[in-house]
Amino acid sequence: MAELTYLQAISDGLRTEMRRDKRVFLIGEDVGVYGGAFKVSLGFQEEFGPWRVIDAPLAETAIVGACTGASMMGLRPVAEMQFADFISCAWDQLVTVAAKQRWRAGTPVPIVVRLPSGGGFSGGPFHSQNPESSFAHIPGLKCVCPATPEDAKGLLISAIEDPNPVLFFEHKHLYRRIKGEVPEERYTVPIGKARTHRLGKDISVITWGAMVFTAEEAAQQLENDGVSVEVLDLRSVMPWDKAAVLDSVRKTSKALVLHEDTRTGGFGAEIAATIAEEAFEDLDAPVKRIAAPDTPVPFSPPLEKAFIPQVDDVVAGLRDLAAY
Amino acid sequence: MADAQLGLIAMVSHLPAMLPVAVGAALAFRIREEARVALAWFGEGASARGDTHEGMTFAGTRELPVVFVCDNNQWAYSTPTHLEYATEHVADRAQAYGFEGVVVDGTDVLAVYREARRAIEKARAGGGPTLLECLTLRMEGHAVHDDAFYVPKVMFEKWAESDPLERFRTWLRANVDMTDEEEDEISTGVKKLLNDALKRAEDSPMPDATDLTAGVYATAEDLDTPHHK
Repeated sequence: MAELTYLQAISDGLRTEMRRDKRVFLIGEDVGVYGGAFKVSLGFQEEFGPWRVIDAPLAETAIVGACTGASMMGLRPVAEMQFADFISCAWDQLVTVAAKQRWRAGTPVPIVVRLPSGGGFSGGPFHSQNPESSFAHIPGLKCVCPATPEDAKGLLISAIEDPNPVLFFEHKHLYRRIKGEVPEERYTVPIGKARTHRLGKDISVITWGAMVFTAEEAAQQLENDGVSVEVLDLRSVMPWDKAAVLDSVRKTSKALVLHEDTRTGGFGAEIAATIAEEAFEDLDAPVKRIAAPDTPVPFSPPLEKAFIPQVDDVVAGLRDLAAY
Repeated sequence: MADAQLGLIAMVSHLPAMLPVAVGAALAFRIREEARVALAWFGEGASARGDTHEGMTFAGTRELPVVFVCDNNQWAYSTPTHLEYATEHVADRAQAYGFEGVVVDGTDVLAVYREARRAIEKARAGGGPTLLECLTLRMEGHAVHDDAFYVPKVMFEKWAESDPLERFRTWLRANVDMTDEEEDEISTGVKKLLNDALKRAEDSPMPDATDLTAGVYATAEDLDTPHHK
């Protein structure tokens, strides 16, 4: 085991698959000579050459469309969007072409689109979004959102192996802040299985991505109040581990759904509705949601702080639930 | 319409979306250094969208083995060519993407064959993409509901004189002595092929409603095609 940052773990997973399987290639803007805007693929072009680490023109539709075509011819493309926000330019390729090919024509589209997402660095409205809910709504796509280095590597390898289009949301705020033990050998983490980040018995927090760590800090504060908080890291929102959520909520009887994406129509709404439908009798309080308000992501530091759910917000929500 | 086993990719209704996909197939051939070529069909209407531009830009920068075949039938639903593009030909754009653009009489079967073959062989030999524009006319409406009232009658009359089937039939008669029997054999064969396909479709059972949600996601077994070995 080596201690790696979240970013190093993603590089490690990608390098592992590219060494093992010649069909895997990386394509994106500035991924070659420059090593990617965040340096995930630093040194890759030297190792794998310019035809497996491909600097694409500034053309997201061409990048995702080319991945789809190459995957149909038997390759295993991994695309990097420089920022998750830019995936809007390739919406049609993902939603109209890649997501529907299997259902409509029986043709699998095994592609991975890596999406550096999330805020917390005053990146503003075009470099900070968390668009996973939009894509989780599209039948045929999978959406993976790892929180830890170990999961980032194992889930990336699973995503590359998967016969479907997989959107891999890697949270930029975690890139260099989160470190952890990562096995050196190849391993996979199954897509669709939640992970209990912290065991608890009084309240369940259901979350993913960077919010796992916000929830953890809040849970520690609640521990001082004598309230035991469980933090469930979904790891993927499509498919999502409904059974694990319902099991946790039935155990604790109180649920807080937390995400960094905006509130209305966010994936938290789906989770809250499911808990209400299937675990209503087990609840001792209404399901609570904490999410960003329905605005674009602001540049201004105080506004961004007010936008992204903070530890204090989660603590307040948990105290409300504890007192209910 | 589509068969992954044969390398025929299913189009979506957003037709220009298929151009970057064809470019991706060509990219796969280039990465694996296979002597294969991707062909992408589209109309002059589809040439207006950004996908076309992005696909051609990428294919041009990497000199990928792809041939873009534009069936320019002069009407995108009811919209004439001068409202779809401002150049004289769609193929004029090829120069801007750094590859060759060719305009051919789309009603001349042999000319289309000659130019398509030349473009395919060039791509296969590493010469990069070609944009092949085949000029023709859509002789009916956009679909069965459309009587094409907006197309000038004189245009239909003029292009009816160069029906590609009729032109090629005449050529075969004059140059390779096609006999009545041979012509009959071809016509009967085509009719039978189409009728058999229609019958097979009509005889096929309607789907069961329980199958509705099947096949949204692929399984590992789906990757068992000649392309995924």
